[in-house]
Amino acid sequence: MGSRDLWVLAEHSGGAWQEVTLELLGEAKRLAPLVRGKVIALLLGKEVSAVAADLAEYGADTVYVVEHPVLETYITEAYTSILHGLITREKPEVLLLGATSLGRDLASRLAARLKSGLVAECVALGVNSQGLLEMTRAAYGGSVYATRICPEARPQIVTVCPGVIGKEKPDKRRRAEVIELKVDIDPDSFQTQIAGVIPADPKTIDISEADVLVACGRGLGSKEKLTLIQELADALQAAVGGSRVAIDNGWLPAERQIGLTGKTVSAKLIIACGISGASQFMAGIKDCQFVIPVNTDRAAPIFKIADVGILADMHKFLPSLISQLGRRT
Amino acid sequence: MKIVVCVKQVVDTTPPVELDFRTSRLPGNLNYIVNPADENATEEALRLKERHGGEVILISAGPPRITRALRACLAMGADRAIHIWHPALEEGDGLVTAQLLARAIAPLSPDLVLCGNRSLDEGTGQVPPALAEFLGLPQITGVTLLEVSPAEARIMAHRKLEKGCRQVVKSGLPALVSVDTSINRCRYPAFRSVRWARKEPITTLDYEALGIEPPDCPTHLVKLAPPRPRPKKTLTMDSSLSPEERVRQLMSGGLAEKKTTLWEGTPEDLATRLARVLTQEHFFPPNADNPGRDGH
Ligand SMILES: Cc1cc2nc3c(=O)[nH]c(=O)nc-3n(C[C@H](O)[C@H](O)[C@H](O)COP(=O)(O)OP(=O)(O)OC[C@H]3O[C@@H](n4cnc5c(N)ncnc54)[C@H](O)[C@@H]3O)c2cc1C
Repeated sequence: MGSRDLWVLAEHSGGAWQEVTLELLGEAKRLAPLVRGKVIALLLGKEVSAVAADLAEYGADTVYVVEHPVLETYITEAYTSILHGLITREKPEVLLLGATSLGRDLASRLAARLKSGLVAECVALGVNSQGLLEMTRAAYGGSVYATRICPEARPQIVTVCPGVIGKEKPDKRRRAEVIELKVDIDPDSFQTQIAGVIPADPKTIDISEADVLVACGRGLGSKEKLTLIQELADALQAAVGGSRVAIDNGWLPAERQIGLTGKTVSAKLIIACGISGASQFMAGIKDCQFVIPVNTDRAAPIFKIADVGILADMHKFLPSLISQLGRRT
Repeated sequence: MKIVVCVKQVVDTTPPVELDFRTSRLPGNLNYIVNPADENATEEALRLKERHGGEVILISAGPPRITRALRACLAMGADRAIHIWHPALEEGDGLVTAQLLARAIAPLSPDLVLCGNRSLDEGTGQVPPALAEFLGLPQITGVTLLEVSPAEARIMAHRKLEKGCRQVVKSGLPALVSVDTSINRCRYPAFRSVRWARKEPITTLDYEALGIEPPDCPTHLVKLAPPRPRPKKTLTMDSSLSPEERVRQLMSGGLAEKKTTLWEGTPEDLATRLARVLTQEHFFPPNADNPGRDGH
């Protein structure tokens, strides 16, 4: 018989927690009494024990720490072999991972090695009357939610989409037992090596990954005016996107199209210049948080979803804004 | 180089799929397409073949209609296609599919297995890592750039991390790589090859031919339901709004109409006001690590 514990794989990189790690701990804390287990966070890294205590504040009862120089960055072979070893020894009931570049890569490989069940990219978790995890994810492009259970195989492995659960306020009084585990890893036996990380460049970043976007549409008028958009984007370290008209006119490459037949973006800020807000464009920006249209037409539909609406000619307004921002640095 | 490409057929999700929730049945008039990322995987394989020579073999596990996807990719220029099918597959998840694919791929001893990193309809990307595990191959997932050196039997790939960062990964061959749709732009097949691909025989293998029992699927579907409104975090409420307006904003996820007052004035005035707001909201000056509203 295994334990009834819920394990959460914690992700810590560049001196910060992945938000989804903190969300998962809160969720595990909520589910723990229903599954009748404890919340155990797993923290793998190079020198990570110093931050292990943070995990208690978000819900961990115990933190397992595995330190090794090779764990400085994520590497499939090392993580799979370490987790496989720990899981076959401790037999947890549930393993939660974020649906991140790490979680997506690892969860399925691990499930295959353990011959256990995985439900990936979940948006909601629950526990049924038999204490089994109910794992819900979107199917058919989001028009259906499918709920699955994993009756026998253990652990029940889940990846959860970042940003859907939301994280709780940390409880500064919570404490966890921190247990350092020794593992045997031989990096020389790995078939893959990590050669480094290339930081994001706002000029080349995929618009769907960008946090800040400056977008343009027909109102731009001509390709020469793109320098205006680029200057504003540079000032804000934003990526540049556009409506289909901007792409059809050859002002921007196709991979920068926002909308139904382009990309869905989820920027924290988007400044949309000379874009009317056709439904096909709006479908692409529904996940954006702060929307600022710049348009000469007060009836433009895009103003309906604006946080701040600028009724102005972009060709007069943008140079002023760029010089204003320049003055503020 | 021998390259195997895994191809999946998916439901076209534009327009959105409408499921009958009383019967859990999908409508009959669904439009199926080649999973976009798998098309990119095929394209990448063809480019490698053009550069280094060799063979591109397509493989797909699914119902007979899936051969249409295989033919579409054959038309792009692949050499041959293998189809795997058994009704038991219908109930299975990615783990089951991966086991079957592995069984069919292993005897081919490919140098490289290419997959799309996620599927359009389910979006889970579960098959590639599981397939790599069953084949005993190293994996690189979410790849946006791939360089192969067949002479040294090595590859170098850029792998998608969060927020536009890329991990540079090197590996020996054979290996499995799952590609992101941004890796390349797919070619249009020539009319001649479309005609050829329509007639090219496709081998179908079942469990018997593969010499295995249908694998058990560890997870079971228990419910299909309409999506809940996305429990999206709401923006800081504008205190100048009426209580009704604020409640309405809270209740409506997604494309909520926001009660916006339009800013009008001279470009200079507007620019000064907006620069102030961008600063207040921490969008300016930009901070690469933490732009925007996080941390409040
Ligand atoms: C099947 C299908 C799929 C589609 N998919 C997409 C998609 O993915 N993405 C997409 O964007 N579109 C898509 N479209 C097209 C869409 O319907 C619109 O035609 C398009 O979004 C309009 O682009 P726009 O806003 O740039 O141009 P317009 O609608 O022409 O709007 C231009 C706006 O600029 C304003 N303007 C003009 N001059 C100025 C100025 N000097 N200063 C400020 N404002 C100015 C105008 O007032 C107007 O509001 C699709 C259409 C179809 C049928």
